[in-house]
Amino acid sequence: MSDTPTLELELKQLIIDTLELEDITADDIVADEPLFIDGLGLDSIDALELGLALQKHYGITLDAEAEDTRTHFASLNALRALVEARRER
Amino acid sequence: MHLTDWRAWQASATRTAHDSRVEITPTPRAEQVPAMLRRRLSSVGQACCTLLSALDPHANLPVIHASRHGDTTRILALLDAATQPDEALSPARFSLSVHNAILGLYSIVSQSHQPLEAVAACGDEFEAMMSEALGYLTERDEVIVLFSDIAAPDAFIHHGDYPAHASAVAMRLSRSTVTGVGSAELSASPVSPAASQTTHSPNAPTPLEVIHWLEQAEHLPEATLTCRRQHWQLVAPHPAPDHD
Repeated sequence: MSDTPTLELELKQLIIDTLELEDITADDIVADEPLFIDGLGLDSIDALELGLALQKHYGITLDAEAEDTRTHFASLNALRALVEARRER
Repeated sequence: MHLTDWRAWQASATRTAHDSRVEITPTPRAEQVPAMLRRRLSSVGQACCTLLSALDPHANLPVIHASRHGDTTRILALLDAATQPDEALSPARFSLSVHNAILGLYSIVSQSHQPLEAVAACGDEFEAMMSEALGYLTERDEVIVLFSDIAAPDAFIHHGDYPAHASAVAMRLSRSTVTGVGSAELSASPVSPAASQTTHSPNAPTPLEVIHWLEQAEHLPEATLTCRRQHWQLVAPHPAPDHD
């Protein structure tokens, strides 16, 4: 998809701004590495904050209890696929 | 009890010369806190963590943190968001708006398993904090007290008693004198009811007044901080050193 690189950068910036990652740049977020714990090192509060940002920016509502929510947040690639498939704005 | 060491921070200077234990900067940065946790700390929070790690590098002591207003700025931002239609509240801000949030993050960073306690007392924070400290000192040899506050947020600039500048002060207190450390004796005597009516001393001291008191005690044989209930006196261990 032609807008993939743009969306990727947009999502990186969304993560940095929403989660106030003061020392991180877009280049530091590797698209296929884990966002949580081992990779970027985000935590459970970040997951809630990110869920809220997705709702606000793309109109995507996630069920916090659903098993696939974990899959959507696995990496930036997974997040991008979710936004491409389910965005409403 | 005895004061064995102290550290302080204020966002801006209040005198021409300050003690070397007072850090003055509008943007304190807790370098010892990993970036992923540091982003959750406000300026005051970063200053508090720095003071605590300077006084107790291995986090072996209980900490009592008193603050009159806590992170009011954060709570106001949440309240503002709550009044906007379709504006969801930030879970991160919410989780950090509680009064013990700074100590919570400090305990994660320092891996402290000691008792950590947050206190607010409508202006009587200093005395509330000290009476908690006395309680701990009946069972332990040492305790750390930390007193911080923010400057008035814009919305509250004409309301409430805020210090002129955001500030924090931490004191390491011990039950007895510590050998090899120049500790000052800290005692309290009751304020007489008549005197408390007429005194012009700040009887609800902010951290800035406490810092001033500690700085005075470095130069004078005796320095007094008058609060609502007690006069708190610091008495130098030896004749006051010559600081000229």
